[in-house]
Amino acid sequence: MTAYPSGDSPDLLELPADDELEPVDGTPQLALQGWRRLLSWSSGAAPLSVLLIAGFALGPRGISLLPSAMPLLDPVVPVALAALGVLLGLAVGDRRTGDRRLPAAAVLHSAVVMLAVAAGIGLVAVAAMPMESRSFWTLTVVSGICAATALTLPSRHALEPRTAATRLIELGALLPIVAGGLALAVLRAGTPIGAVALVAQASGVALMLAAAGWLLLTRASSETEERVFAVSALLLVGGVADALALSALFVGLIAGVFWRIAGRRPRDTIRRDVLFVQHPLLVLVLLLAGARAEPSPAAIGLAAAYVAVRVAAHLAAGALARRVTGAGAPEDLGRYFLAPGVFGVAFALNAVTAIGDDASIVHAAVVAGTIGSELVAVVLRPRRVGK
Amino acid sequence: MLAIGAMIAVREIGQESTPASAATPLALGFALMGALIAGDALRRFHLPRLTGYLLFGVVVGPYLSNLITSPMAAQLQVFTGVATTLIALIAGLTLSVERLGSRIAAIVQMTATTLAVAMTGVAAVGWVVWRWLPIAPEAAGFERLAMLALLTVMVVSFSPTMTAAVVADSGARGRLSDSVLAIVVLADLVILVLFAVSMQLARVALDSGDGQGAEILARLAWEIGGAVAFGVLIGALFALYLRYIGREITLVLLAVCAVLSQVGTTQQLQPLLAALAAGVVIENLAVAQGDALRAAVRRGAPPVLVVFFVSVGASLRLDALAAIGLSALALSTVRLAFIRLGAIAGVKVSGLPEPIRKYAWTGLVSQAGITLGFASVIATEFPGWGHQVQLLLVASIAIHELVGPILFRRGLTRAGELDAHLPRPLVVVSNREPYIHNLGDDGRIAVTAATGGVAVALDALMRERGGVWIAHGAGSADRLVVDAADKVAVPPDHPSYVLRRLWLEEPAFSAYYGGFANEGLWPLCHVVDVRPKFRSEDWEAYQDINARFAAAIHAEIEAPEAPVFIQDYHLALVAPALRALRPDTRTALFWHIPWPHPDRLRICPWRRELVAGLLANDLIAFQLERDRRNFLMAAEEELHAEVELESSRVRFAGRLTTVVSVPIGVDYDRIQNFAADPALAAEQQRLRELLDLRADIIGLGVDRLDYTKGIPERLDAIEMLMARRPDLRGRMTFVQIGVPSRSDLDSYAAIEEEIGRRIAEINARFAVPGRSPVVAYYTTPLGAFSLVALYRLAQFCIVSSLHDGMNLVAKEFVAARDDERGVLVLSALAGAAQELEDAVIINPYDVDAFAGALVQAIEMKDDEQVRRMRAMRKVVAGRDVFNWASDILEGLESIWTKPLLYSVRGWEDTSV
Repeated sequence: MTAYPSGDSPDLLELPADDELEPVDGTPQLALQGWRRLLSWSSGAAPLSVLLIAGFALGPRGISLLPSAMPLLDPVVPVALAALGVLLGLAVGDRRTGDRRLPAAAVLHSAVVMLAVAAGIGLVAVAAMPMESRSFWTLTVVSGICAATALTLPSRHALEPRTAATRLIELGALLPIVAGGLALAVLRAGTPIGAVALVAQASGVALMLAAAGWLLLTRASSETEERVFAVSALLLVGGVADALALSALFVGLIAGVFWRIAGRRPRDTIRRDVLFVQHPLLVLVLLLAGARAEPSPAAIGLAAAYVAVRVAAHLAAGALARRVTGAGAPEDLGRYFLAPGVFGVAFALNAVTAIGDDASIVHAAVVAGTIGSELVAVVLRPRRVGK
Repeated sequence: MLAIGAMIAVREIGQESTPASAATPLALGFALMGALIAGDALRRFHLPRLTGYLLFGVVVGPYLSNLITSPMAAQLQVFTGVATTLIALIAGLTLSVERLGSRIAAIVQMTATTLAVAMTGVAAVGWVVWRWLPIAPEAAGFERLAMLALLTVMVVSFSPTMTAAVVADSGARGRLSDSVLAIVVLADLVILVLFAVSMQLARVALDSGDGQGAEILARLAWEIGGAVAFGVLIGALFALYLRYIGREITLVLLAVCAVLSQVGTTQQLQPLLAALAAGVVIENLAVAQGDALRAAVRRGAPPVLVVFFVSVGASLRLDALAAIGLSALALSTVRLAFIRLGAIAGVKVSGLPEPIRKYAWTGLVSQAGITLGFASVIATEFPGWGHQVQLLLVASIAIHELVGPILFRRGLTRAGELDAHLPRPLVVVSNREPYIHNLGDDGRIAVTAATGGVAVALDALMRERGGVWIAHGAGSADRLVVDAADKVAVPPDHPSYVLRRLWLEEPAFSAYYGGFANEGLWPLCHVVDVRPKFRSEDWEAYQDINARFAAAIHAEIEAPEAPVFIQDYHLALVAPALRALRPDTRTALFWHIPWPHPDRLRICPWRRELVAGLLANDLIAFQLERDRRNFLMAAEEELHAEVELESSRVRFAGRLTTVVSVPIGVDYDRIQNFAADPALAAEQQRLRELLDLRADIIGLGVDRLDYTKGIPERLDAIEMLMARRPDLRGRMTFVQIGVPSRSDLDSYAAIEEEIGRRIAEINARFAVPGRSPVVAYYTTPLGAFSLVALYRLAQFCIVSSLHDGMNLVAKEFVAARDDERGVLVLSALAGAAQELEDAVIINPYDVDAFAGALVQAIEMKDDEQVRRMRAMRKVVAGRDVFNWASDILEGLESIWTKPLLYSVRGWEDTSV
């Protein structure tokens, strides 16, 4: 059987739209044989834990292979995060059958989890580890945001068939990213007003760059030109976020939404080119997130609390969200959110890149918590998938 | 300007100390964006893009506007190593021993002689004028000799990819272009070795290296031999990777270049030589993988190379460059003179024939990436005089890359290898003819033009390019108007091409058309509940008639390079029959209907013959990505053909076929003109009266009466709507234009009967006496103008295909609605749904939801209608039927204008 060409999405009309949980990135698991199967392993098929652990093993606390490459890889991180944000932004506004109540349910789910995890981690921090105010708020807010999302990648195509659960996971990533953008801005600016001004300025710059990219993409005369313009726009968006010490995911999201609205051609071009590099970027984000983790007893303790509160919050929020969506969603909706996805750990990496040491403990806790959450997700699988 | 504004804004609102990591993406992004614009601007003045990249680097660099600051420029330098090895690898990929064949000995002789003469001449002049050269006038003796050796090697070097780009860009094909390309690559291979030797010599002479005698020789052997061995090893490993894994090739390619650069530099191996060797190995030992790699190069190389050139531009010191300009001009003149002398001597020694003898030197003038790579190496290793050499070389490269392509193109023109810029006459082949002559009741002959969007577009194309359209003559007066060769000039009002009619007699025609094509292939390719019928007599007729079409094409083709554009599933076997008669023909086939999944294709007893027959084309185009993928899977599963997924090509029976998806569009401008015609209102009034349209709400369906169109399902939904919403009875009329076709086939006769019966039932059940019927049914074909008028009357239009390749009615409805009103209710199973996402998407099998969608369409508010229609109109306007036709034909011609090796579009953009 022939595998799909890279960058192509499977055609939906030929896939059964059953309720089984597909891989979240929607990549069809094609049967490759022998060596091909073994060697075609990619992030779409690999557990996040493996890459996080591999990153940790290669990092300064392991065999120290990655640190020498860090000066080269560091600039790629904001670009990779911006690319993830762009992908999500490009999917904003995709309407699907039965979507009417899903956005509200997704927002509700994310908000409940964010608040619950932030409160839970805050309580643990107050009880067990006294810390200064800024670090405390960084810890609680970032952990809440990281816990709220369970998304690895949004779907490749607007018409791709998604179950209600996977659609909720997609939509549910928006609120945490927006909240994350504001949170990092507050931490950078110091005051809420300053943060709003900073976010407005950064959004303006991102929109200017997105507009420049759009103008160029609509006038590109060849695929090569399109590709170069798309890559350059992505680099600029990531670079701007890094230069302003803001959330690259958020700035990418702003640009992605612009391209989504601007028209089909830039949207398709950007989507094609980001999808082309998605696997390496994901692998890189996860490896670097692992390498940047600085485990300590406090971080491990927080990670345990993070996993426990996250699981409980998702199960409870899932039940609430199902009330909003109605019978379209599975009964055990919360279980679909237990697998942590990439966006959470990506935001933790974003925070540690933008804020610095204040976020290192929460980063380590989220990395360990992601591994723990993935193990829990293996045990508590959604029932239909389990069957 | 926006990007520049954004960069300035970032500086203003950024942190006091922008993180070092942020400088790199900002510099890279800005460099890429700006350089491409600059390159494109220069291209409009027929100047090379590369000059634009360099100029952009100069302008924004630290020595002029300082938009790219020194730290940013330093970050860009990281890419230099990767870029130069990539350039060398690309050069290696252009050297195919197989293609050179018996000429290889002569080409080697020619290369050696040319190099010897040119290098000797340049070196001799350089020695004499050394003291006036702005490099190191004080150098003397062995020092001067070493410097001169390096300078000579670099000055004489060529640009394989620039040469290849000129060939590709101009569409040249012949001995001159083939031979010059080989000479340039071979020469650069030798030059890379000589560069390594000269570098060692310079290190010894300038005391920047250790050791003496045997140690130096050993180091040299390691540097050259080790580099070649390392390159061969990497090339072989990479070929294995391509063969057994074949994923993320572009990224792995860039990683390989990084490895070649890093290992080469740290282990004292010549990275450029290693990369060139790797490229040659891949090209010659793994031909199929080499193609996949070229596709990856096309994707990955441009950004890296653009950054490299900007980086070189940004690092240039303008004051020094201005001072060195005159010397560079003199150096270029000397180089040109000795290269010409060398080429003349080389041709004499090798005995290469005309036109190589006269024009080979024109292809040896260009210089670019490899020379720039040399200059970077020298500037890094010998910071003092090396920088001077870099400046001198950059200035002379600017001259050579301006003059070189112009000279080579002129040489190719004079050698008669360049005629691709003139559009060639076209041969279009279809079952149905664009103009049909019929005898009227009064005995007069009337000519009717086909009104379908595809026919109109192809007719326009033929008017512009001229050529022959070959089709089945089906009109009652067709035989009366043709000449002795069965030809008639068309269009009748302004003849500009020839229609060649083919006479297909019964019973063969019915077996071919009604039988195999429409009772076999049509239901095979559409996932509906109609069983395909495959009869061996139909298959024989199909083969026979396809062969007759092929024979007609063969008789009509004058020049072998005339492109042949074959239409649709009726003619799947034309290409192999034609190729038996005329192996060098260039053919493209567009498959208008869906291509089935391999599981369904297995129903057809002659599927292998069909797939193999289609693979005799140079290019096959489908409507959708799904169809393209299904076909690639079929080629692999049924024929075990070698499928290159990255480049979407299939290698079968010694041929290479490109498979693409090019969704068809409508003639948007024509529909716009109809929509703006003042007579439209009168036509709408006529149609209201004709169809008895008195209702407030009008829906519309326009279809051929075909079981794939989902008309009964549509009627079910309307019936359910009327049952649910009694208030609509008498207020809404659905107009169904249903044109009978293929009525002699049982399946079609049955669907026609069912539709008529269902409409009668619905009207009987829900019609309000004295008001318009619920469904107005009209079976006479309407002209394009009337259809546009009807589209503009309707509040909504239903396309409810059960499976459809594209469905142009959906796009026509959107094109006609320049008032931005109206709702399109579109089946998710029609190809058009892949593009028109803002339609109300329905599943025709889900009648309940379908009826709900009709309610949504009827009740949709104006602002939502406008938003949806505006979005859909952008899509339809952006991709009309002329784009479709030219995409396919340009795709076909690009395969051939890039001789064999350069069949991937966009390769020329990687030119260095």
